[in-house]
Amino acid sequence: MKAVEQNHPTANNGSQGNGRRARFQRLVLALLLIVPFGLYLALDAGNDLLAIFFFSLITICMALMVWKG
Amino acid sequence: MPRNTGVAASIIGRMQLTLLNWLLALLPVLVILVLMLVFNWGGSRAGAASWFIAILIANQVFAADARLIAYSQAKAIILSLNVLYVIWMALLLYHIADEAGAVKMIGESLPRLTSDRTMQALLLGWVFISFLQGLGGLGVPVAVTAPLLVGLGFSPVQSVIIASLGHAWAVNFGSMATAFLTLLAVTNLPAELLAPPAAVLLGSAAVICGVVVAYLAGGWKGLWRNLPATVLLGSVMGGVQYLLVVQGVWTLGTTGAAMAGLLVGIGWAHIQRARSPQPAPPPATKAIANLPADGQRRSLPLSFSAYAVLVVLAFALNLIHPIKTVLDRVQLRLTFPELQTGMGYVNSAESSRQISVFGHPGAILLYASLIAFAVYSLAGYYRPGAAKRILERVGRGAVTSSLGVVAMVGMAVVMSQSGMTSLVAEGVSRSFGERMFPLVSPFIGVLGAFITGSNSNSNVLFAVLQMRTAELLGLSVPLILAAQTAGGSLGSIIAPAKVIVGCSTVGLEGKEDQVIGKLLIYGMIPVVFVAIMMLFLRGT
Repeated sequence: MKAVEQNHPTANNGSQGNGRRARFQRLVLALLLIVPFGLYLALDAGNDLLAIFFFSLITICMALMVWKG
Repeated sequence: MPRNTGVAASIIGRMQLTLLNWLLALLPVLVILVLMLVFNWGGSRAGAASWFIAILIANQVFAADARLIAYSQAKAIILSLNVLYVIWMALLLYHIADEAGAVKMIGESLPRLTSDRTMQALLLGWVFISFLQGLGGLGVPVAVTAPLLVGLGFSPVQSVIIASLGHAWAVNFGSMATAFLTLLAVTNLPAELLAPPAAVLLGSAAVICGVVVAYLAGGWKGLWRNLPATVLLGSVMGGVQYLLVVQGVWTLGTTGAAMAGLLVGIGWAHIQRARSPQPAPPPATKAIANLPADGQRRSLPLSFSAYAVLVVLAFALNLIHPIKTVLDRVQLRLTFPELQTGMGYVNSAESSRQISVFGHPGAILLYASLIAFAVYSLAGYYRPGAAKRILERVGRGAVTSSLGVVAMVGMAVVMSQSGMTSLVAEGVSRSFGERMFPLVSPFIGVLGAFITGSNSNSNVLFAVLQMRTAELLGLSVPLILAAQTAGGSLGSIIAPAKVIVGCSTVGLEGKEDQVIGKLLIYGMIPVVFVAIMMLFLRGT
């Protein structure tokens, strides 16, 4: 089982770079899960400016995912 | 069903079905294919890139305005949350059991029941791994089981192939039926309609997976010797899965089936041992396996208790209506107006799929997780700091896959809402026709899973396309969708991402080509079987 623990897909390799990447991914995920609700409310209220703001946030998150991997 | 040519016009509006338009509509999917297979990008990164392509094409070629695209993202998040709720909680339950040493205990106990290597491979690499898949996927079942098979004397390549093939049938209703839940979410069709044909196809494929595992482990002799056990276990697992999904407990389709398989398998091994003189394996089933690092003994029944709790809760909360009614009181649901593209493709006003905050399959997993944690804590199975370690592992495992789901669902909903999926379906239906399409349908599911590494993502990419094609050709929609998700389930094992995880646990890093080549051959056997079944079933 040692091999499993060392190479497990969810294993922590402890490097700082991966820690930063994990924090970044968590932030992007949180935004992608929350912002669409704001977008929906803005669309429903007919507030186009706010809708553009929320959609831009989603776009930035997607761009960051492509850029950072 | 008669062929309804009128449907075509209403589905694709004023969009022209030309080769260029068809290729442009398919481009986001092709981009994912190239980025993942050629450039080795992960699902989340490739999904995000194709999200941009989908939006660009939807707006510039298919005249989807900003309002339609924006609403599509709100729709996508509800679909994503439906799936993510289950993924997160399934991971939580798995790590609660794993941290307690329960998964290791179960895995090490099974091979001690028999000295027949083929039967050991069947119990571990077919039944037990399916049980693990029932609880949570993401490559974990292969990562846990392949090293155990190596420990029994199988070669690393053999071990990864056996473990991969053994659980291929179990992916769709596994991970608390995440892939099936995705199918329901993207097609907006009821589970009662889609679950039975999917269970028939995958239950039959279970037997074939077992036969191939027996052959890989013991050659023709091993297969012949264990054929009765293989057919019996496969029939039990396929049958129990069918009964569970027909009763509406589809979240436990794989888990319940594999638990029944484990019980029958253990019983069969005991009977065989009593009948024929074999070298007596060390007694492990009654109570005690190897002592783990903390020196604390684990009992097999207590190790299973987390899953027993889950089964009881799932049945109780699904079948006792007063409890279900109370839990279903808090619902998350959005309503959407009618939206139309500049080319006349219409999305009717609709409510999103509702998320029952306390009655969702994810919530049931959460209740089972909390009870299991309390049971293992009382039994003294945890070292200090266990809760923190469990939550950290869940977080690490969930984030990347969640990003992939959100990006790909976002892309797929844009494609669907702008009419791109319908145009692709129109092209496919005209190319293959109603006679050939049922044969091709499972392979489309395989392609999706191969590209994305996931049955769920295959369903996100292709389920609506398959549904529209079936409608256009006058074929049974539930049957074609069953073939889609069955293909996705069986095809997910050959996805490079999953093979890499399996290989990394048995010292085959960098030698994945040895495994993929053989998996492409053996993994196609159950898919071809499903395709042949489709030829017979299409007329029913």
